[in-house]
Amino acid sequence: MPIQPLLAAITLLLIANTACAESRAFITNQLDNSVSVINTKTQQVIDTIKVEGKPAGVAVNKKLKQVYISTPEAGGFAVLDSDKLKNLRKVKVGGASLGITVDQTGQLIFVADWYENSVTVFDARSFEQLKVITVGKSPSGMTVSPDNRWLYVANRVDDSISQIDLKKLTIRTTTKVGAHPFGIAIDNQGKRLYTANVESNDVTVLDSQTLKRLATIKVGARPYAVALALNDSRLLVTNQDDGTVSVIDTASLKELEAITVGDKPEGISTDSDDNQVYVANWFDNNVSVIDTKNLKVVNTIKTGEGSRAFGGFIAE
Amino acid sequence: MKKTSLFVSAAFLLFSGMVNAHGPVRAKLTSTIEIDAPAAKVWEIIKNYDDMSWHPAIKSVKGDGSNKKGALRTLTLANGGTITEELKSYEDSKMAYKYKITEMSSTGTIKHAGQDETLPVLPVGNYAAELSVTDKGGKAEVEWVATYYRAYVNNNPPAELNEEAADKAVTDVLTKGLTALAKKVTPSATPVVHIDVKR
Repeated sequence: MPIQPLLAAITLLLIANTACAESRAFITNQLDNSVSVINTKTQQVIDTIKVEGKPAGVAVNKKLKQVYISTPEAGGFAVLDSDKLKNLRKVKVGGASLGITVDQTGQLIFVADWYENSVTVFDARSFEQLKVITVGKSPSGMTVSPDNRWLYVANRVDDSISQIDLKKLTIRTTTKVGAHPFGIAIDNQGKRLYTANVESNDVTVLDSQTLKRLATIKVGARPYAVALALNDSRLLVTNQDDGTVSVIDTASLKELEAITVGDKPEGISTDSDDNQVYVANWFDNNVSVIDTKNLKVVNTIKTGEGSRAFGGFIAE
Repeated sequence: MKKTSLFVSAAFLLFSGMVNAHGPVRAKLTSTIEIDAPAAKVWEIIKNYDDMSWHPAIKSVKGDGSNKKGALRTLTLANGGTITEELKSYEDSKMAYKYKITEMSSTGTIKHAGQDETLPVLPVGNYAAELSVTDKGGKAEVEWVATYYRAYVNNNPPAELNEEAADKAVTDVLTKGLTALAKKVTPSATPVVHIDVKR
């Protein structure tokens, strides 16, 4: 009977569609006090949410369907519902919250305080402050290992990375990298950590277990942040002063190409297809979408003024 | 006045001072002027990277004569100071070029927080700018956009090197330039420069 295979096909189609749920990129427009939300399948801006306090950093909590936006001039961070695209609440933290990230289980939020030289740990459900960990000077980018064992913090002014034990919430070790590390990323295997060093125009590659320095790779002028794509085979780095993104082959640790994007490219994150990479261009007020397979910019999406998007800003 | 309240108010003043102080944040200063003349005519005057004779605050320019990416020019200012700038991009068809400051001379030093601080001739850091002309219904719209940080990189900057000083100095340079350019092209019109600073 023809109806059965047809029903089977329809069912499969429905399952496939719900499995590939829409991904959203949350772009902080720091000079506009807003967040542009991009549907990464259609590559259209579907909403612009007002967030006061010069929104800069972004972190996605997949489990709780929330997005955290750091607001350095509003003493804390804003909590958004990533589905309904609404402001839920504001959470107060000390001096200037910039870097923000979430643990792998969505239970803990980490906020780096640029002035207080600390990382504050929050319970993601109650927003209760659990601990304040003193780190190095001007903590900026942060990332959590895939096994949820470690939190890595870039101490920008100290030129170092702190490795924090997430069971004890204490520092295990701190190691020097290049000058002024800002954005950092860890690979899917939890093997290597990459840091964008703003003042030395390079990337430091570290063994993420021992924090031993494996390599230093020269990139463009004033690198801001890093992202990995194509099963960690490609490292992409935004070069603020060159208006380019360096693409590095992580096997050879050599630069393949410097792709021209907009002016003052900063935040960078990889889409759920592990191929397309989104870059926020602070000066041009838009986002460049790069296809990492063919190393080309495939789209430029208009966002708001001073698009920064520091952190992991794509919610699957 | 009670001793305790004096102590509390002093402590509060100290605290609020620290809260208001912050590390450098990049500014975007956009200056625009409309000149009643064809855009191409205005571009002719400003298009050569080593020719800044249209700017009254710049006494002379030494360049390699090219409009190629990487070209360097050194401006000698009316006050004797020098600024070296590198050409980052040049698009004749778009009537635009971008450049950044690579070196500056200093006007002296001041003492601040126990250290000697150099005063650069322009109190800014990491300065980049774009100069462009666009046709707006037969008229020329000149836009000069600068991005920069304040010159002092630590918290609690001295007045000479804070955000206000940076904004004021950049506003001055761009306004003087655009005003003079407009006067050169349309001597009888009143130049109006619009300034917008975002940080």
